[in-house]
Amino acid sequence: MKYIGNYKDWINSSWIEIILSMKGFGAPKDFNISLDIDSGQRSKMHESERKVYEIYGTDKIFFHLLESNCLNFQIDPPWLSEKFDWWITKMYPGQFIPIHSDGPKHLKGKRYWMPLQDWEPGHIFIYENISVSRYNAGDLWEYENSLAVHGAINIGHNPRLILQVSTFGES
Amino acid sequence: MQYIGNFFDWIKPEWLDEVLNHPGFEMPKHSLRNEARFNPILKSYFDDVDRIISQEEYEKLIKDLDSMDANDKVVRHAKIHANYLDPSRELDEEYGMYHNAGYDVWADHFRLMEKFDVSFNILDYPPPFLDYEGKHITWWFSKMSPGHVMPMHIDKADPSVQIHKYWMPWTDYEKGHVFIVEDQAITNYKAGDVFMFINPGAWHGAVNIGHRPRAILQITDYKISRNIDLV
Repeated sequence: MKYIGNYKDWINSSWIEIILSMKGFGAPKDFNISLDIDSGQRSKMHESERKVYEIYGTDKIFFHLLESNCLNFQIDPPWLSEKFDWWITKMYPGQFIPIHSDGPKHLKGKRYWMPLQDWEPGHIFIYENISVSRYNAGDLWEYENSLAVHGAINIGHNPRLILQVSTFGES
Repeated sequence: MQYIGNFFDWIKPEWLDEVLNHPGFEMPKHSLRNEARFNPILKSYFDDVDRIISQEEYEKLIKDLDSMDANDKVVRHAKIHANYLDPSRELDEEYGMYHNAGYDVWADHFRLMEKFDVSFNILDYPPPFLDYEGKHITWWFSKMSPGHVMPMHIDKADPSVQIHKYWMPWTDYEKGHVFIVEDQAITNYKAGDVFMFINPGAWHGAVNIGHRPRAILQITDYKISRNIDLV
């Protein structure tokens, strides 16, 4: 993970309230349905996602996904000038994202990871063999390898909110 | 965590086989009754670890204990731990903390194997890294399948007790096998590696977001510096 800088001043505090108040998609359970949840339009589970969750159970909820089209605010990342996609992952205590590698659509682009709150013990992001910790809200990291194996866990005592941004190598 | 060395050769193949195939007890779901399993008197009051005894049975247990020899070590121990079987027992501070954070404290978050759950005693063939003379030793295994989590916690310790805590994986590290002490993740280890907690009171937790089970031996040694009733 390559540290880019801190963008805490860019984070609008109302985003946190909105994210905490919305359910979003319960992943992977809600990936199995094509329903319009919270105004979102998530399609069925991708094949790569299905493989990740096969051993965990595709009918359970391990974390909450809030995609950009589910949320009533938009973001304009100051570090980007190219086309991007973004989403929020919300994990309550006890929730996790199994270790996985993102699909080939991320191969040409860049992947950015930004916590929206300060780190607390038990908020864990694993990237290959390292864990990212002691971060501050607004710290921005870039995946050095878009296909790196990664996963996340919340074994702390408060929800964990992460902004994720992807570019696709297109202007 | 201080790395001590690799002692895989000390692990007997039949021990490893038993640990990997033992289902273990569901924790924290069974944790309260697990404490009661230590005591033969309490154990006789619940035949199945899944069964929560009734208030009537609990009151009978208390009455029975009051009629037993109060000087008997096992009775004294049973009286100290009888409240673990109290069906109306409220969550203690630690479990209250998990509950308030949103964890289901009666779910199956990881598996535990106490020393009396397995057919062997590691102290019959003492671990070469352990300085056990004059110490009280406890040991147990934790086993986590993919998806199992152990919330961040601090192990309670009496400040008058000198304590050493050892952590020894019996399975090789794989990505997604996470053990966190404070902000440090222990990774890339081999089965048989032994680590000692530098601070036995450190916050720690574990999770398996990998694809295979993870088994850990944990050993604690205590040196008592004042009189404590260890019944």
